[in-house]
Amino acid sequence: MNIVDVFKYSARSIRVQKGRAALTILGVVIGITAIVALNGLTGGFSNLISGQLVSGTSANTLSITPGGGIFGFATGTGGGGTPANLYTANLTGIEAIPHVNMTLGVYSKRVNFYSDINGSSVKYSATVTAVDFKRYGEMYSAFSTTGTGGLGTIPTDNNSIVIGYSLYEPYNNASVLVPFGQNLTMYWQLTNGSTVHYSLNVTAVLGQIGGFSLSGGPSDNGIFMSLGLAQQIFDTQQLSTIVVQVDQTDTATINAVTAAIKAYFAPAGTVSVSSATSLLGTISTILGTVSDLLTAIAAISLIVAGVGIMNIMTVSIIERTREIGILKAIGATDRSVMGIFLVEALMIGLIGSVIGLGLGYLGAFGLGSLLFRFAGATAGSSSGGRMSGLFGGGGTTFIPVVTPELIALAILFGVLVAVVFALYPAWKASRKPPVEALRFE
Amino acid sequence: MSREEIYEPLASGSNVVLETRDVKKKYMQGKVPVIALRGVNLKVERGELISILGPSGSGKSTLLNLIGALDRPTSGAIFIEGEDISRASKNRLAAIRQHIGFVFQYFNLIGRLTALQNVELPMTIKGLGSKERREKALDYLKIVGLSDRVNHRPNELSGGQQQRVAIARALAQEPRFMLMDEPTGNIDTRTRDGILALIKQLNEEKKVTTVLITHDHAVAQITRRTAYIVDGLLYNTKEEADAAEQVDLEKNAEYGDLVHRGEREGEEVPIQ
Repeated sequence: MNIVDVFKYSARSIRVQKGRAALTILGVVIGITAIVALNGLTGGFSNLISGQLVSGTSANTLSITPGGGIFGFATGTGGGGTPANLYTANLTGIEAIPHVNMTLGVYSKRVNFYSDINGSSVKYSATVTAVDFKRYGEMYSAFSTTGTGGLGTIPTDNNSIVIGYSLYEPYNNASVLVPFGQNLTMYWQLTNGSTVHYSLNVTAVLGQIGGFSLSGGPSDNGIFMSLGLAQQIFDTQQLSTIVVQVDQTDTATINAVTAAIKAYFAPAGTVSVSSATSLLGTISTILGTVSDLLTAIAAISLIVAGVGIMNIMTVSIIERTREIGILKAIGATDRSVMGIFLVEALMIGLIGSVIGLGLGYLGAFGLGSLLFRFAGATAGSSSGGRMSGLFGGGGTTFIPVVTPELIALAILFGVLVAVVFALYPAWKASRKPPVEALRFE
Repeated sequence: MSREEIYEPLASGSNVVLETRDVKKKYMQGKVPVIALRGVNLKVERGELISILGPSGSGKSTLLNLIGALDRPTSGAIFIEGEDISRASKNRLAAIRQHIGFVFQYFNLIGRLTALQNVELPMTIKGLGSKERREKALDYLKIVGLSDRVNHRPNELSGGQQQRVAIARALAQEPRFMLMDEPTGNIDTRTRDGILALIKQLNEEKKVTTVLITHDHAVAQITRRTAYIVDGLLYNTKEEADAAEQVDLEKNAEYGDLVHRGEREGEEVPIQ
């Protein structure tokens, strides 16, 4: 039998058993849909973060934080030991290190405020990033009101604040969370349990830049305050982060500066020095792991589909015993019989994979936009925590990443599972002795 | 999948299409060995129409399976156009079956295929091109008188029509001989005569060598030659067969039914 005829023959038997074939195909569809959707989603997610990282940070900045690594992960540049405290006085010392262009002291503090954007007064929270506005603007061009949606001008005095776009208009529907030009009353708790209230005038709204920031860079979700004022109202001399701009971006320079910074702080304790590149690497690794994990879970559903195929094939082959007998009686070899059943499985796998691919792509889009619109809507809300509104606003669009490799792999995997699980039943079918098969009722 | 091995007949020059020499077949029925054939000798010449008549359990079906290359004998030799197939490989047997025109009692058509596709099937298996297949299949359907039913599926055809499709399919194998197993066993008597006439006509006009296996004396009457199978042995005349049957009956009377000889449906041990 030539291969075209085998395909035609198998296609006919699939067509005759439409209902059953549809269910078998559905199993493959679910598996492939899950794989493609989850992979596309994490891929798109990864791209989104990288894109925002590039706009929010730059390759030539390093950030110094006390003690271990960022996110609680040792990023490879941190380490154990007593964490060193960071002070404004350290800035000049760091500026003396060769290749260091500029430094920036950042103090961050989580504060709460009330807004009646949803009709009643609800508690929200946001992070105050306290910096020298002038230097901040020099280091991060995104810290400006000239972008889309920006309002007012960055203040030069010490007594007013700047907010990110998501704090101004989180839903992109003209509802205002924090009014521009008015006082915003923030409050926070001291370690002794008492609550401090403080009001400051909102004199500028940043243009949309995206909701994600790292190590002090600007984002749509931040409240920005001058460092002097912050140190006064939060009653601290310490800094959360020192951002260092280096005049070279090559690894050797970055490593040398990193070592010099660590050496500088060594008498006081350990610091963690991370670059945007290394952070990006860490995030990619984490996302890669998440992606692998999700794919593995999706793959399980495909294995289940495979068992389904095996089951259906076994039943189908019992039902078609007589047909196998007839085929053999008129001269079909074992190989032809096996080929017919394998091709049937192959077609089921192929159809399922192609449908699953389409659905998975749509699924990644649907899930992505659902997830990120939701995230945007909770921007700044008290329940959202640190990650809230990470991806809101900023005119960022989520595009799932479905690469040709993913398409090829999904189809290959779908077909492979179908064929592998059909191997045994097909082999058994092909081995049926013709005399016995013909007698089967 | 490669094109199957094409059967190349030996240039024997002999006129014998099918020959069995002392063919014996023993199989296990559970743990009891049953001797179905006890040394069958049969010679069928090109162009012959022969019926093999025997009651149920005489070894008829076993013989059919052996000369149809569906099974191998326990001992003895089976020659098809001079080639001994009794020890042939599974693939070789399959290749030989491509040129044996099977016609079964229950038609054995494939339900989801149309009459035309069913007739094309043996040629599909041989790897013929689709155009050639179609033309030939239409020819064969015309020969059996079903030109107006080519696109009907088996369940849209009467029993007689289905058997005609099966005969057309057997013709499509370009058979060295046709092997028919109770071809009218599942057809009403009125239609039966039409099928028998067709079988006779194919033999006379197209010189199709035909072995017709039946238990029905009326069917056997259409053939010039009849062989009789009784208790695993083949006899050339009715007298010999009757005598053998008498002995068999006496034996059974003597031993009761302790030993069951011959086969029953569904109890054979297949080749593996």
